[in-house]
Amino acid sequence: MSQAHPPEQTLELLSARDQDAFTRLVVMHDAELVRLCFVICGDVEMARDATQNTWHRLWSRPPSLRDASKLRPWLLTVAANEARQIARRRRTGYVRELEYHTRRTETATVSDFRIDLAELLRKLAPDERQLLGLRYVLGLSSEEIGAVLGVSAEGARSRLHRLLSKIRKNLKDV
Amino acid sequence: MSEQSEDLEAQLASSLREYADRPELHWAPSAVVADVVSRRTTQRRRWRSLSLSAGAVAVVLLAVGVGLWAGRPPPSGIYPSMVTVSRVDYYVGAGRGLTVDEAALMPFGVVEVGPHGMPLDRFADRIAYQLTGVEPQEALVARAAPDIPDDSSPYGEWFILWGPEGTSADAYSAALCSHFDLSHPATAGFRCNEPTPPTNATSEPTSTPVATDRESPTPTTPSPVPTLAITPGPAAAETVHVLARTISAPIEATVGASGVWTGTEVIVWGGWLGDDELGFGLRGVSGDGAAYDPAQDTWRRLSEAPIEPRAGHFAVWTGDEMLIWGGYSDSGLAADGAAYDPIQDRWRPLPHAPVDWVADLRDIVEQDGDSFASIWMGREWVIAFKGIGDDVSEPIRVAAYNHQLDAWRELPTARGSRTEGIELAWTGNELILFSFELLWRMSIDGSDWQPVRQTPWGLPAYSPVWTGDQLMAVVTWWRTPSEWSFVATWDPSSDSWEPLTQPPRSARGQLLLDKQHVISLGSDLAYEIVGGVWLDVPMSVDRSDAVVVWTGRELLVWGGWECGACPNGVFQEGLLLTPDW
Repeated sequence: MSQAHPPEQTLELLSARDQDAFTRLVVMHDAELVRLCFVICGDVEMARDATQNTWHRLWSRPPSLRDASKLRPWLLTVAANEARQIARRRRTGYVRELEYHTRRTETATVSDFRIDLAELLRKLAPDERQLLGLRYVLGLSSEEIGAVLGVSAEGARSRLHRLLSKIRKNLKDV
Repeated sequence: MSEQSEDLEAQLASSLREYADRPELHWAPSAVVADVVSRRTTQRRRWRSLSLSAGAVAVVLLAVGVGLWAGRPPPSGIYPSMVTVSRVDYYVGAGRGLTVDEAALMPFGVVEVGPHGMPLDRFADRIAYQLTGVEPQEALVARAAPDIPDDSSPYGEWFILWGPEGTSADAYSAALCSHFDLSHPATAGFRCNEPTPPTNATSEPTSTPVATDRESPTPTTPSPVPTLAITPGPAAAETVHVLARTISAPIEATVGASGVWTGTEVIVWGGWLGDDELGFGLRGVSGDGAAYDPAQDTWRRLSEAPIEPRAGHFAVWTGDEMLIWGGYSDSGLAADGAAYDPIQDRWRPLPHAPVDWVADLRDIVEQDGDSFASIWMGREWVIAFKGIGDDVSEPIRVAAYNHQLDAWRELPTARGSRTEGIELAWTGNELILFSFELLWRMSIDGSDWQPVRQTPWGLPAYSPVWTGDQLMAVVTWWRTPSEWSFVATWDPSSDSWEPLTQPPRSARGQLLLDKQHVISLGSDLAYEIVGGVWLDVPMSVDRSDAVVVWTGRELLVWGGWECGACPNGVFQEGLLLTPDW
């Protein structure tokens, strides 16, 4: 692989269909894109398709970004949109089964019980699963999440807070 | 944030990371890049989610792994295994991967190449799902194949070939071996079995569309391999000069808008607005419309419609009104419509479609645009959409709006492909419905759907247009590195297919009908119906989801994606293309 280029130059190279620059971006971001897509649509094949569509979009129509730092949020946004669309098209709420442990902290006795993560995710809207993926799978800050969602950092925090409240209520109901 | 919240967040983080940490999600970067840069058309993308009729084709899954990594001995040959699951016969083998050149020589369709690093069983699941629509859990195939090593082959290349139902394992194996470069270093240890040479007879017409039974067919005698002349035909007889000029509408250009020709004006309406400033996604849908008079080269804006702005809707010209129905609005899938009178510049809402029909539509808001189709039948406007079906097919609900009575009626339900779209054509007394391998016809009285014979090549037909005495459609033979498409005609009286003269290059994209020509828009070709020759018509419409309206003399193209130089990705200028026949 050729030498790395400054981020600004990467955008120019992408516009010129430079395959090395494109490959470098794939190496850097493919793993996080496909993980995010998987959390949103809950299916390996769909997640892979959504990610590939994202890369195809970047390759065929690179965004006209003035700031190279916007590229990662752009990729995450497009990937999330693709994942939502694919999941809708195949009209599936299907999420692979996976159980995880949590702890009932509202009681004095701390005891393990099992929560069906698949069931939890199924009850969430794609936008909410996207938020979970951005925060807890990719570990993005509120500022970074805001850049992806097109809202302020405070707006991202607010959405996250509401989502956690909903999940907590859901867990209690379970 | 409270301790309880922190605890919940920590557990969510750990659980979700574990949940998303799946090796099978990840492809080698080279495979990702190769897949992306090799995509050229939306049709190719459509084929990536190919769903072949399990009853119409037999499927060969050739799992090929070099096996030199991790000290694993290389496979020593092709290991055919026939495994029957549902209606699918799988032939499973192992060896090294095919090169592009080798794949191009195969007499079978190559459905997909790659990916690297995917465990064999997962790949088999995926392919089985794509081919049959059977959920992965039900379509476990490779695990049942005793000859395949029970491991992932992280450096292998996977692909499948497909041919007509009943093609024997030996036929596939022989084809593979006869075109396989055994001098390739990676073939060390590879040996071909000694199979029966593939049959090379001319194919016979296949049966009519598969009915609802889902029993596994028992392979009997091997079916012959279809012998298609997939080489380009003679060069185009002549090149038609095309006069092109740009036109600018008084409204923002969009994607997925509708367009109709009234006889004097082209009316465009609605569509997705382009990307926002940062390219972060669509800005929403448009409710604007405009009409262009090509004779006067003038535009006018339409009055405001009484329905929500939308995109991906249907539109048709009735002779005095433009009807609009369906589409995607900001509030979801729309199940209403309106009629526009261009003389009065006035709209009126359409009556509601049948109640349960709308309810079904509301239930499937996730359907994509390919799941809908419409056609004007002279007095009625037929709209069809796919509902929720089973593993094999989906019901296609059909309703017709009578323009004179201003009322809807339901038509019998047909069965459609589970994952592919639907298309309609009208012959003057029969309604024709295509849904991949499922082809249907229904007389004007709406009695019931009758099967149309499939193409004799076992290949799907797309983009049907009625020329006045026969139906023309694009038939695609999918190959690697590129598919080959030609145009065939279907004669309703004999229910038979015939290929036209092979085009000089693959006939892609939408077919448009002129009085004397059928235009293959994506390949810049036109077929002269009377003369039986192909003509070069360099229109170069390199846009996706644009409005394309044929006025009888010129082609109007408006909006559409793929404008790399446009800030929002949408072509703002329209094109008026006039071929000098």
